[in-house]
Amino acid sequence: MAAANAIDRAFVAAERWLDAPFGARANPLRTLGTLAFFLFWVLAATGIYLFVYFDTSVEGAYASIDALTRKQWWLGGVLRSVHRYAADAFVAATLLHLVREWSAGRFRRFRAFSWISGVPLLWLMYASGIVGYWLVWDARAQLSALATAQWFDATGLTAEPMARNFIGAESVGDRLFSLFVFLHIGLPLALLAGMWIHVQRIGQPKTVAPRGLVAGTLGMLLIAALAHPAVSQPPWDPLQLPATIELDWFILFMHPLMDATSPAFLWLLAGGATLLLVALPALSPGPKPLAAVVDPANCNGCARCTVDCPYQAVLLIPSPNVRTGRQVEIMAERCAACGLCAGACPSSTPFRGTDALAAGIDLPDADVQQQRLKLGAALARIERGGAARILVFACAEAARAAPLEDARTAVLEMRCIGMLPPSFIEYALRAGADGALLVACREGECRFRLGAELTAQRLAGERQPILRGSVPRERLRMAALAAGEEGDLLAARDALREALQAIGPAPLARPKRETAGRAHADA
Amino acid sequence: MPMPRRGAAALLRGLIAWGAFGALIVLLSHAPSVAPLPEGAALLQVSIAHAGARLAACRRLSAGELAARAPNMRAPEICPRGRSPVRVTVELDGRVLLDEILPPSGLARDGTSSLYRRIAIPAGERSLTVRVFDDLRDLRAPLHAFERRARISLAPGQVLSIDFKPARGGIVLS
Repeated sequence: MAAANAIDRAFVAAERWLDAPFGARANPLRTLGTLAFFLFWVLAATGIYLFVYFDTSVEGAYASIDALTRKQWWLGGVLRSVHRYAADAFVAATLLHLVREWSAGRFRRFRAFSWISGVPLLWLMYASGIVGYWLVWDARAQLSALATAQWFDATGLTAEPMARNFIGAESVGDRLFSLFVFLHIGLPLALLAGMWIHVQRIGQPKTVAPRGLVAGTLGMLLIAALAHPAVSQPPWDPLQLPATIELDWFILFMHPLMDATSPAFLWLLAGGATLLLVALPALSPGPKPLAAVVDPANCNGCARCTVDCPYQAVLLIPSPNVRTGRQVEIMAERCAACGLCAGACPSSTPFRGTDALAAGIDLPDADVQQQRLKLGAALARIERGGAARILVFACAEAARAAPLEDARTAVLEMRCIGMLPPSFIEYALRAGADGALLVACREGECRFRLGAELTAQRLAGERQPILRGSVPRERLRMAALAAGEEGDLLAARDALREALQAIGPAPLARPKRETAGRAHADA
Repeated sequence: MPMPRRGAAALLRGLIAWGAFGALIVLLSHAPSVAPLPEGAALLQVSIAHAGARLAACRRLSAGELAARAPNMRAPEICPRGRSPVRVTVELDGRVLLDEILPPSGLARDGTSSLYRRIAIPAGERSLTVRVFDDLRDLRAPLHAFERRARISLAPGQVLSIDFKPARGGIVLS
């Protein structure tokens, strides 16, 4: 765990360092999965062009690629190099993505499906890359094909050594290249299908790269292609080996590793690593979150929670008893207990005129009734504090807001800022607060992926449930700050107070429920 | 929300990041090179796939044995499937480089015995002897062997393949 924490801290530092030039959304380190998706499409596009010119024969394979590289260097050659470097970048981004998710603990419980479904993708990624090198049919292909065949031969499952297919001119035929092409198209297609499955338990997955990331990636690949074009090694020759062979260590590292050890060791390493990765969620499960619950009496099947859930834990099921004909159901094992569903629920509002407040979907240990009681208590604390009273709605994962508490500042802490229904803000402004400060995680660091993003959209009126237009926006601030940035948080609170003092007390009428809410809090 | 700063320092930081990533990609995509063979060495590539002799000859069934079988199973002759292991030896200048007994493949041990080995040897002129024994049923009796002796001259990096093809006279050097 100490290693994971150290790596996590290193990643966080590097991510923040890169926020300045790129912003969180186009920061390559914060979007490693998205980057891998984009690189896949770069590989597909450049690969289609290369395939047009590729000759699937023993005599033609090497010659066709070499001719494309030399005679059409300005397009074919550049695209070949981009294809090569995109494949390497894909491997690098994928491995970094794996390490990042592990170090951040994003493999447990509700993340286990994405984690485990990513493991076979590693095999498909390497298989796609290795077969791609064989298509060139140069000395590197010879080394790789023979080493791979030896690796499979070590299983003892082949009646004859597969290596015999690659040792002499008479054993290599044109049909072998049809097989290679079939594999180099089929394996990436299987990889793509796997990538699609990999994100199925992710709500609103970021599979489309933002423009900044696209520009940076393409720029890097193009400059690399022009600065150091990828070329073939000497042609495949069963009778003569070159003194040295350039190796792509991103994709072909296992060949020298096997040479230095043994095929059995490599099987042990690959199999052991695969088993360990698959078993990791079970070996280190972490605490079990208390899943959200649905109250059918208050659920109208609007599906906002289904859309907003960051882990696809809320399903819509048919329900003839509801006007919309559907209701939601929680898949408890997928639930992170982040409360984003409660923040999206239209019935989760403190304005409702009932003493026993209940929402259609809610967290059992932090439901809307408890939130309203806490809000009432917080408002009571600052009622006599004078002017510019501020209610702070704070995410427990973000910068610590508790030190902000004073006679004119009350803090209401919650698991994720996304679990805050916007109506609570209006309620607070009507019930005694002059302004509200929302403390969210630093952009790109939300523990539950979407909390800060969805909240910002709700406040901007871009996402249901919206903060009503009548709520004065100049009385609101949102601070996206991480733990350790408490100084900035204090400054944000003071800036809001200063602004509130300039514009005067809140003009909104007090809610009818406010007195009752405070009574509950007092009780 | 914090927006990216587009100052010169931030731009430099972005260029450093993409530049470092690109440099790493290009570097590890090409280097370090590997040597398929030690310096000054040639390669002997021994690749054999051959089914050894049958462990027992085919024999005709007696009338009693045939009668004991179901009517649709009364083939007059049975041929046991098992095959002998195959032994392969390779000597270079009188020194044994390889001496392996290869079991037949398959659950019934009725398939081919196979071998693929890569042996780096010093380049130059050498004396090579290869033997293949494909009938190891009676180890006390003198064994029948396919044998090939040759003077070979290999340059550094040159590959000599050793195969066994009875249809082409036995041991084949290419």
